[in-house]
Amino acid sequence: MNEAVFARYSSGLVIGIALLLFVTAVFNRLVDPFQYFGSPRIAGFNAVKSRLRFFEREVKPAVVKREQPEAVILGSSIAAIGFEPLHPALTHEGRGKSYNFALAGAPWEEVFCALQYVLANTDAKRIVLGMIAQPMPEVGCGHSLAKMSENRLPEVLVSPLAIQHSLKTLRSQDPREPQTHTAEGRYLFFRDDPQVEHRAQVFFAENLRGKRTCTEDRLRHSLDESSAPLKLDFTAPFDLSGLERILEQISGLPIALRIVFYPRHVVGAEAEYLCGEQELRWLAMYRIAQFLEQHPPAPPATVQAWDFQGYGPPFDEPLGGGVLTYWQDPIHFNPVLGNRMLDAMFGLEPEASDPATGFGYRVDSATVAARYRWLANQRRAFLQAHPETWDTLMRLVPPEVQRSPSPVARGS
Amino acid sequence: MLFNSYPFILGFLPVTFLVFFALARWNHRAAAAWLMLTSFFFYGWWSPKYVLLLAFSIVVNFNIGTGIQRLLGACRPRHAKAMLVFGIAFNLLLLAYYKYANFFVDNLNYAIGTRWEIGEIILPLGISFYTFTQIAYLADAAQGKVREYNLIHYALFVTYFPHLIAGPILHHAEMMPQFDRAETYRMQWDNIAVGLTIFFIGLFKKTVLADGIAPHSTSVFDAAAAGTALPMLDAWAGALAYTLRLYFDFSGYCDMAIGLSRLFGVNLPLNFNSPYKAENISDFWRRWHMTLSRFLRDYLYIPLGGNRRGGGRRYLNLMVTMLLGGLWHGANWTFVVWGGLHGIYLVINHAWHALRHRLGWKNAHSRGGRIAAQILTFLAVVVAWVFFRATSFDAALVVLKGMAGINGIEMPLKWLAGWGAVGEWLVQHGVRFRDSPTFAGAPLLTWVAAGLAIVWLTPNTQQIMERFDPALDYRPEPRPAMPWLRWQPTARWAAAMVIVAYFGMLYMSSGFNEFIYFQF
Repeated sequence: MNEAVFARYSSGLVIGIALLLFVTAVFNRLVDPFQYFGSPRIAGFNAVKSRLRFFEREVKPAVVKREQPEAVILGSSIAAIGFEPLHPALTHEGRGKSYNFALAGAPWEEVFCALQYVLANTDAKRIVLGMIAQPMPEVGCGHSLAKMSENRLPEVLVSPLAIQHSLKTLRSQDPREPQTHTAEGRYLFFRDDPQVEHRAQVFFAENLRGKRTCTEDRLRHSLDESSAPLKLDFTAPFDLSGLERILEQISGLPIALRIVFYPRHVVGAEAEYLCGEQELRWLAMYRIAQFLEQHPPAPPATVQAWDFQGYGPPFDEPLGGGVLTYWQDPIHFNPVLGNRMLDAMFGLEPEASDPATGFGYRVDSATVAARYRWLANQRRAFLQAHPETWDTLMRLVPPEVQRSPSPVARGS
Repeated sequence: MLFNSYPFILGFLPVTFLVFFALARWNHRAAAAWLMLTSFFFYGWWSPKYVLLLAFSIVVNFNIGTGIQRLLGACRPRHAKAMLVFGIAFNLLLLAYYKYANFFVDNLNYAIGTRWEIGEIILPLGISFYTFTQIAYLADAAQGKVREYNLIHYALFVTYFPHLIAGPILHHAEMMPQFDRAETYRMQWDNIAVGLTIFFIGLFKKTVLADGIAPHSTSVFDAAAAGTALPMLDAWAGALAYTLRLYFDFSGYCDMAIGLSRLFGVNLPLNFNSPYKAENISDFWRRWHMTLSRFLRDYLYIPLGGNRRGGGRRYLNLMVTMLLGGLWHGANWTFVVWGGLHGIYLVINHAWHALRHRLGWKNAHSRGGRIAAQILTFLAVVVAWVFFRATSFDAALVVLKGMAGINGIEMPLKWLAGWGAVGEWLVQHGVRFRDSPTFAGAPLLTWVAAGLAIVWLTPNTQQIMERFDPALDYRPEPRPAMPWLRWQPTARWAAAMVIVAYFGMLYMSSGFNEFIYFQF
């Protein structure tokens, strides 16, 4: 057979493949369903983006590396939803870039590795690290860092996933369709959706199912127990090797690190009493604060740990009856509350005269017991005034959580 | 570097190809050296430090090989044999250290109650393949079948990137004449057309078919590893999904290797020839990983005595060969069991043929009989794959118990509503309806049905390409099935291949999944 026939075939094959891939890449680049490139945003074409949540762990690392923000927010969905990266304390009054790099569903190990990634790939000067008060072990991040550092361009430009989500993006340009993330990475979650109780039920179903420690009796007795002083002389091992590593890394660098222990709505906070986990939270905060006091990073680096839990406004916003201002559900707070927390952490809100009783408490080992007492009193007063709180909680938790045979003795 | 990755397809391959033929116009040796260097680069992309190990192994084996040839030339066959033994021992020790040291220590600890540790040893990519390739070279050299005094040529033979990581396991005698041919160094459009077509068919098999069905098998075997009891449908679906995944994964790899090599004018031997169409287990091993089967036959089974010392010894040799063949795949007892099962299958197969021969029964060639034999062989292979895939013996038993129906039958809940009275009847007869995380229902059944249809009913890549010498020593069938599905360099075929290649590359972006055979 003639060589020219094979030459035509081969050239046609290569050019055909290249052309199809090029058209696909241009299409996905223009639609940009995962907000990987950030622009262009054309009203009616691709301005409403709702697909980042399907590719969050792949896209956010690439964006944070490319954008080189001065401020970065880390944590789970609670931080992803609740902290606005455009807050003036983070953007340096609008002069710098900031990015919400929190990842929905991320446990401590993943958050720790995300922080490692940020420290290795950016010159961030302000870092907000949202977490549940718990041990902070060091974990090996080799695999995670490799995953986060992978070049995602092929997936974003020429993959079935990109085509599928580009088409969905084009079909969901109705202005009533929810945008899921801001350009700066904040997760908009179920914004303006009144189904708060339903979401709470889903959350508790996922998190309390199978926990045998969660009983209504425990909740009932927690009020009596909370009048006892907090015991801080425990000797159980508490791994803070991850925190130690972080302090070593930022030492001597111009980094302000703010560790914030997630507050909960009163119903969410009561779930901790239902499962007997409330003391763990305080003990963890105490150990972390003590460690920070004993191992401060070398200046100009600063580290502070903050707790905002309370039993008055805005933690008691009624859950029923439509869209909430401060909360998405009993666990996730809205940026209205998150902004106040950022104000406090970065000194934009006047400090309370008594650090143990104001909105926001910079955790330190000397006053943690006083704060515990204050909160216990506030809780007791709140539950006496709002006995329906436990009913609300028991309505939201899964049915297998052990109920008391007799009605709950409220506020006693 | 993976064949199914953008750095390879858009970077490494075009650069290697263009520079090779540019150099070849000037000097063939320079072109061969370039191909060798790029093959080292290709290998080093994964882990540069193991390039040194590969180079060390090549230099040692080359020197042993030339030593053997010189000793034979000086009429000192006993010394040549001693050198061969030394060479084989060197290769096996290298393989034993990197692949089996931890396995050996773990088993020793278990047996005598010690707690010795030797730390984690990372398995260098392709070590099983390049070790066997070089053992074959030494054995051939000792038999006077090969003569090689050029280190660059020898290094190219071992490292040649289309076969380096996962085979085919090559004979020096079938490769070097091709590298010596002048026409290999002349860019030929027919090689490019055939090579690209075979490569993209392989890519499609890997990224669309193998990687597409992979999650369905993974969920089942992960659940088994966690000790979850599997209902019958789930277990069968998982086993079949893995059976198909492995088929398309390895078949895709072999096609890509053959296609890539063809671009450079070098034909690789056939390594995969529709094994699930086999009508008995011997036939299966003549179709699956053909170059490994050839190696085991020529360098293990025959030296053990093969079938020359009576039936009993033949069966023993078969068992030993298959057990070691199983162990070659990985340092885990599950691979040994897999090899042992195939050994038993082969013994039964040979015993059955011997019995038929003794009784004077003729071979049945009816269509029904052949289909039944094909299905029986396929089912035996599926059962054995369960051990091949499972992470432990216990996990394999969990899957096999499920396949045997010990945990009952469960079907997706939504089927119950759709099936009406039939569904009620099934419920009355013990079938449970509930949604299972290990059985994806209709999508999975579609995958399995489509996969089996491709495997059983369509011609394979070599048959499609049979008019254009798709593999070394390939002989086309006299009466091919689906004669209209024979490739020609026409516009229609080009358009079809553009679509195949486009989807192959598109799905490549869903994650660059390694070929299963890379772990061996």
